[in-house]
Order: sequence, then C-alpha cells, then structure tokens
Amino acid sequence: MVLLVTSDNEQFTTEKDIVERSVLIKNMLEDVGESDQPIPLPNVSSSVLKKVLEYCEHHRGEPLPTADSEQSQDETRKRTTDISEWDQKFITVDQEMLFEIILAANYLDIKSLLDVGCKTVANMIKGKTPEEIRKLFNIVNDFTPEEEAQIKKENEWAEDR
Amino acid sequence: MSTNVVTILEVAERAYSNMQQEADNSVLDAMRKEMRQILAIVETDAARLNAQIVPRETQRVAAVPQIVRMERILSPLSLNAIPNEILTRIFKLSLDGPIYLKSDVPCTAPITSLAQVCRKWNIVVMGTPVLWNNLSIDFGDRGDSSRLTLAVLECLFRAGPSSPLSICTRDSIVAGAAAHPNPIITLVTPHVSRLQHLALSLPAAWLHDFLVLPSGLIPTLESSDIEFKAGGDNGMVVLSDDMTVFAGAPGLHTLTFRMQGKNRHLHHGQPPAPPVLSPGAQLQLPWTQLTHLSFIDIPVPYSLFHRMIRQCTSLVSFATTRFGVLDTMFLCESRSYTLRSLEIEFTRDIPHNMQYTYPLVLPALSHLTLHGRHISWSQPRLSSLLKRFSCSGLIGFTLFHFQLDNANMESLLESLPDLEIVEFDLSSISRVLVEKMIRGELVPRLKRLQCMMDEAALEAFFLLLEARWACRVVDNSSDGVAYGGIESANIYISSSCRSSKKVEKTREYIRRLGDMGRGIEVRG
Repeated sequence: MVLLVTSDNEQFTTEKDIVERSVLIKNMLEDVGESDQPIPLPNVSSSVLKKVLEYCEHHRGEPLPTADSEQSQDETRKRTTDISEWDQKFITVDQEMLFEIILAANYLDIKSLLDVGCKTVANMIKGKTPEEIRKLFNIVNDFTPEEEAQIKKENEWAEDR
Repeated sequence: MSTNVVTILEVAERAYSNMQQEADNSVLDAMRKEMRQILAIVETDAARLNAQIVPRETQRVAAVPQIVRMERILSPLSLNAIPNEILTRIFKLSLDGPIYLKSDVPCTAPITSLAQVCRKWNIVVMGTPVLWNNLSIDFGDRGDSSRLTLAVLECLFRAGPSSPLSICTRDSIVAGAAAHPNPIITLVTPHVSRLQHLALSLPAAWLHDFLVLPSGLIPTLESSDIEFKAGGDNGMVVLSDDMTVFAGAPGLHTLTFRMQGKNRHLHHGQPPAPPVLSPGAQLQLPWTQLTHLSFIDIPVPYSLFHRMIRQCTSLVSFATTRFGVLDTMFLCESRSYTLRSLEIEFTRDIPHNMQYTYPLVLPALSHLTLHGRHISWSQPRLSSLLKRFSCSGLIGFTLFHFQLDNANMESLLESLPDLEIVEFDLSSISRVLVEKMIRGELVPRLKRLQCMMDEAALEAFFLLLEARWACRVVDNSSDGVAYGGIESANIYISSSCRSSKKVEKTREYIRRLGDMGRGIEVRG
C-alpha cells in the first residue's frame, strides 16, 4: 500500500498498482524503494486526488501509453477526440474541477487522463466562434480595438467572402 | 394550504364540542369566532407571502446562469490558468486534422477563431508552428487562385521556416492541366526541404514536374501518396527512370502510387489507358528503407513486382492491385522475411495470376488481402497458393469481390486455424458460414468480422449480443472479460433483410454494451 498526502493535508492509502499509473509516483516509489514514508503531493488537493484515484482504479491493469505510441499518434495525425463511455461520465464535472484534473494529470504524469481532459476541452471548443468560446470559458477579450482590427485583417484570408 | 388548516380546525372543533357538551354555548361561540378571525389573518398573510415568493423565485432561476458565470470568474482556476503546452495540446485536438484551403469556396480555418479569442490564445496559436503545418489544398476550379495562394502562403509563413510540413493537394481539373501554371512548382516546391508527409492528387503532367526534381531535396520526407488524376496527361508515362525526387529521401518509409478513375471499370471494347509506369523502368527509390509500398490500380510488370519483393529488405506491407505484363520469368524464389501484409488483385487470366505469384515465399505473412474481380475460385487453388507462400501464421484474411462456394470456403477457413480477422467485402458468403463463425464453430479465434448478413444471420448475431449482454449483467462485468469472442465487426445488412426493427434493436443492444460494444457497427 502507498500513502499519499494532499496539499490540504488529507491522507489517502491506495494500492501500488493503482497509483503507479502516475509516472511521477511510480518513479518516486522506485527511487525510495520499500518505505512507509508518505508521498507528499503539494500540487493536488484532496477532492482532485479522489477523482484521479477513481480514474486510476478503473483503468488499473491497462497498458501504459509509451512515448513511441504518443509520437506515432501525433505523426499520423490521428487526433481523434473520441472518449470512451466511462471516461465521458467520469469527466462530466464542473469546469473548475475539469481544469484541476487536467493540471493534476499533467503534474502526476498520467498521459491517458491528461488526454481525456484535453479531449473534453477540445470538444467544447470545436466549431465555436471566438465570442462563443469567450462566453463558454469566461475569457475576457483583452484586445484593444486597434489590435482586434489588426487581427481580423490578418485573418481575412480565412473569412467568408 | 388554507383548506388543510380549515379541515384541521373543523376536526378539532368537533372534538372539542364532543368533550365540552356540558359547557356554556356562548363561551364556545366566542372561541370559535376568535379562531376564525385568526385563521383569516393567517390565510391573508400566506397569500401575500405567496404573491411575493413567486416573482422572487422566477428572478432566482433567471439569475442562476449569471451566478455560475460569476463564480467561474471569481474562481482561482480558469482555462487561461492552464500552461501553454497543455493549451497547445488542446488546440491540436480541437483542430483535429489539416487546415482545409479551397479556391472555389470560402476558406474557413477554425484555427483563426482560436487566434481571435484573447491575447494569450493569439500568442499560443501564432507561436506554435505545428498548428499551421498540416495543409490540405484543394485547387478546385481555380476560380480565385490568388486568394488560395495567399491563404497557403499565410499558413506556411505561420508554420515558420523550420517546422516539418504535411501537405495534401487536390485538383478537379481533368483536362489541359499542362496549359495552367503548375501549383506544385509555385506553392509546394519552395518548401520541399521541410516536407514530412506529402499527398498529391493532381494531373500527371503536374506530378511529373515534381517527380523529376533532383535527388536530395526532401531530406525529412517520411511518407508520400501520389495519385495520378485521370485525363489531361495524354497517357504520359510518369513513373520512369527520370523519377529522382525520392531517391535522396533518407527518412522515406511509406510510399504509395495510385491511379484515380482510369483503368478501374473499363467498358467492353474500350482500349485500356496507357500505363503511367514504364514497362522496363529502373525506378530510383530508396528500396532498402521502404516499409510500406503500394501501387493501386497501376499495372506493375512481373519483373518489377519481384524485384521490389527482393530489394525491399525492410518491407512490412506491399500492395499491388493490378498485375502487369509478364515481361520476364524467374525460376527462383522471391522471398521476404519481413513482409507481414500483402494485397494483390487477381485477373480473369488465372494462369497469369499463378505465374505471377508462383515465386513468392513469405514466411512472415500475417494478413492477406485478395481482390477477386468476381472470379470463381477453387479452394485447392487458393490453398495451394497459400501453401506456396509458406505463411503458416496467417491471422487476417480479407476478400474483395471474391466468389467461392460454401464447401470450398469452409474448408479454406478450416485450413487457416490461427485466423482472427475475416473480412468479406463485396464477396458472397453464405448465412450458414456466417452463423458458424458467430457461434465460434468456424474460425474459433475470430475477433474481427466484416460481412453481409441476411435476416437469419442477423438473428444469430442478435442472439450472440443478447448472450454477451447477459454475461455482463450476471457477472456485473464491464471490462469485457466475461466474453471472449468477436471484438469488432462491420455488419452490412443485405437487401433481403426486411426487418428494420431488428436492425434498430441490434444497434440499440450495441449502444447498451457501451465500451464492450465498441467497434461493432451495423449498416443497412
């Protein structure tokens, strides 16, 4: 069993093969060897770690994506945004939690979870206008009117005639 | 609410009356009157409060989205707090393919929407060449070629001077291409040194100009797909000794040449189109490094076919969908220890086919695709072919336009015990065999099935899905372990299958299977 301590000082005890889906934790465990020492995760809160462990538990035993497979996927441009049914349900959370999961997956180096999070955001973006994207994610349009006019001009080639 | 109160009070009143039968009636009357007055006040108050609550509730419901929006704004974490490298990853996924640029319709590139959201996104989009380096250019009728040229140049500029490029081009002009400026020379050639993936579908005259570029110009090219468009080329031979561009491409591993439209469906009496491949061509290709090589609908002469098998010492997949002339004869073997996938097309001239394939020895072959042109084949002939290939570990077998009678097909499948993938595309296969495969009596290791099903076969498939569903329910298993059988399938419903409800029901089952039903498709 492995003991994890979150940023809000909550402790989670979990099985090694579950938590080793995180490359960061796997490397840590390999470095320290057999030890009862807790692993501190200062960048992950308890509510997020709970979700991350739920994901890892569901996908335990599945082969980890290798660097080669990642590269080959990128090379062949198979940028599919399909998400499995379970993963879709899992990632149906509010935006703040979604971004927290993405950040945690990035920090913990869980490629498949990062992929699910990024695909979810990508699907939200697809087919939307700049204004719709701003509204969806509450992004402030911080261009000055002059900048906005300039950017529109630069992109005239891609606008409807 | 007030009706309930009145009822309660009446009940209480009756009880009180019964208990106080002996009491003074005037006292009781006074009490009743007082209670009724209190009740009236309470009812008035309740009505007034109700009248106030309803509009407030409406206001609250209307304000919820605003509250959520404000909470998001006040939230310490928003999408813009995500690091740029993750944002780039998200952008790549949201673009999901090349930037499509067309001359005869408005160019709309979703990437420009991303650049216009805010400063941060603009910086990320403009500063990430990889988002701009995958282009699909459709010259269409070239009604506004200046606009298209501008769009291509904009993208190439934003892709930066060193980012590897993926370019795919198309053109709908089928005649007189030579009279127009060659867009390959004007748009693509200046950037060839950065090409990583290239797919050209253009008239042969334009392609020829590209193919004869000097060796060594495309050091980063990894894959190329060259499609010769029918017409406009006057039957010029394009694939010949002067094709030099690929010779000096040290990273090239995947190469496809294909002919579009021409030669495929010739009418009787129509003369065959001249070959684009010179019969005695000494093609200059990096033979030993190629892993995937295809000639689609381009007749390949016998000598070149066997030379490729022998010279390509790294070849993993090889497709030649048209046999060419028997220009010479080898008596020795053409052996490949690396070839795992072979795709060939047989003609009606069966001895010609057999002579062509006779020297092949392919001990590593695991997937064989045969195009049959609706020829009836005998099982001994096919079995002897497979035996000569020495491919004992065949796990995938795909038949296009192939005719085999039931008994022959069954014995052929029985002779291939390791098969996991069986695909019959536009090939007849009986319901009995399909049912045997579904039940696991034939091809016991079957994992992928593609075939046409009639109503009875569909019924059997339907029952299989039911059993699979039951396994899942009983074992409470969602990981597919409970069922070991067909994992993916393309099922085409034959026209004789009239039960559209059954098809719909099957689709519904597949949907309910969730992840376990992934890969199973039913098509009408």
